[in-house]
Amino acid sequence: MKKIILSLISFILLLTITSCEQIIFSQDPETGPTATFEYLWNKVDKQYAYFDVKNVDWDEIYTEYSARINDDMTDDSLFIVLGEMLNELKDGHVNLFSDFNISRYDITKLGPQNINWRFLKDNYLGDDYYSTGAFSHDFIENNRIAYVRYSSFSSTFTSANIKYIFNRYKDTDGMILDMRQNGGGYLMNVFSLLSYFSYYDGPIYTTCIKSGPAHDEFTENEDLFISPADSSLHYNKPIAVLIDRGSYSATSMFSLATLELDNIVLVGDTTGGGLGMPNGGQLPNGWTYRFSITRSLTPDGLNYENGVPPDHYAVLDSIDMQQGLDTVIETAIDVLLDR
Amino acid sequence: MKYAKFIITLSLLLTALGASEMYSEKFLFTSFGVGYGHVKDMGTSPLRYHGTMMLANASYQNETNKNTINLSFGATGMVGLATLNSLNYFDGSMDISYLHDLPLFKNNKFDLRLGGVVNIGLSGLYSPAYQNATFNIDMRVKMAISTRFAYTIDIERKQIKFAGMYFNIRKQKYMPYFKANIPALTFNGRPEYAYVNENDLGIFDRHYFFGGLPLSAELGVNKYLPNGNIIGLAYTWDMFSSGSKDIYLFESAFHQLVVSLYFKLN
Repeated sequence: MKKIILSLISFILLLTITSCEQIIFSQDPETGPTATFEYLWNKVDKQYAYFDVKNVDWDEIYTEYSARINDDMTDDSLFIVLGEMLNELKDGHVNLFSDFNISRYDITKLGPQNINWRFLKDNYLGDDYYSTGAFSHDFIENNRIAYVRYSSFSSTFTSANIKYIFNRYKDTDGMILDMRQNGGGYLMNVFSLLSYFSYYDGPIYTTCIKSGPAHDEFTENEDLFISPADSSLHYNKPIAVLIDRGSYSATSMFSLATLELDNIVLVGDTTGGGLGMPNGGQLPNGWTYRFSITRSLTPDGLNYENGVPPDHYAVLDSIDMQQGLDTVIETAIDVLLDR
Repeated sequence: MKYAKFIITLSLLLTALGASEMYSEKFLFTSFGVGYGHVKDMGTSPLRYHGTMMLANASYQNETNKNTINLSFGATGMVGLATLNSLNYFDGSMDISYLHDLPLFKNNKFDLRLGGVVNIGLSGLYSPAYQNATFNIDMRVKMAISTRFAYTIDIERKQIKFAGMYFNIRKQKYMPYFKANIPALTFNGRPEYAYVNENDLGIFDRHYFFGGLPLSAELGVNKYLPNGNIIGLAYTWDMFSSGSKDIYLFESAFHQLVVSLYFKLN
């Protein structure tokens, strides 16, 4: 009898303790359109990093968009309203993801399409250009210039790739590194690539992260550095990096860093920006989102979130193209050969 | 290397503590469990992720008539789902516990022990949908008051008659028990205000704070084998709430059925 009583006591104790779970844990959220809208608006309000640069009054946005929300609206309608609200930030790093659509702000439409790969092959590279790792490359301008195309920072490369390219073009007078329409990718590839192009070991940019709910609440700036690669892995001639509005995120970061490097010039159109690291989360209705929560500035504190400007402005010109000339490449050649 | 030295020193110390008692039973034991759990990390989602889970533990235990000392290393993994998104949860932890016998019962079949447990652990969440917050790690040190109530059942060898046939019942020993840990002090290291992956540049700090509510309980039975080894079966429950406001809130609860194999060392 004692055993039964003891077993019962233990079992009741266990039930009592495990029921604490229900008492202690927070309530699950409402999942309707109003709750979802409120959650997203608040999340952006507390954590988005660029309200001042984007010149957006987020309280006004609340007034405008909350009037369009009701709990009877369809998922499709809710998605449209939330997507439009996020696009008020004019930021390519801001998206809303559902199982049926992805909202986006197309940063590339801020400027002209500044590269035509088929045109480049027809008029500069031919069919026998080299592909080494993530790079497409060949001689141009009577073998005086190395042309290297890097189309995505998501594409990784090795030091062997770099060594091969630098060795192949060691007798050229300059190198064009074409990053037009490079929409970004892995930030670590920015540091890796820069380490081969400069001996500079000072700060290349400074960064901070949201540290509280106020729009101007950030951590102290922290400088970021590159470690120059071994001297045998360097290209010692001048370099022109080609950019346009489609050069976004990691490519903007690369462009920002080159402002500190004397041997690199930027040619083309202003980059798309996207200098903040986007991180994501989930809404009460299950959709996910992302937006920037860090800022990246020049070491002296300048903010180029709206785009890193070129040293030499150039966009594709239809008259030049009729003559088989890529205006941006031609401008870069002029700069590199000091014509 | 210094961690290995620490663990060896600790094991020797625990052994030495137990050796001074009248009797001591030393075990190495391993446990495997399956169960159901849920986690909620307000830093990335207001939703609770539910899923199935598995655990594995390796432990050393020294039990004497006066105390029980236990050193345990464990790992847990869970795949959780909330609406459209899935995530992986995992944790790894080390437990050191000491239970002292309370001689409240004259009947030596009852055994009540009270003591403390220190748990040092890391838990991680991985969800590719969260961009630069895809992967985050929490650190925790939990100190709790621990209690175990056990009852020993001895079944003597006997012969029973059933349906006209005789059956021999071997001598057997069982120990049903109930264990519970009640929180004393918890220290948390959570991702900072804006979550960023642990490995991204490594320039951002963590948010450290005291607080939180870890609770756990275990109801099980151990069967002693003739060679001195033990097979155990237990239901365990383990919950944690960081108790924080807003994005620093983390909650988890796991319900598991655990099988343990104890190998006697002496």
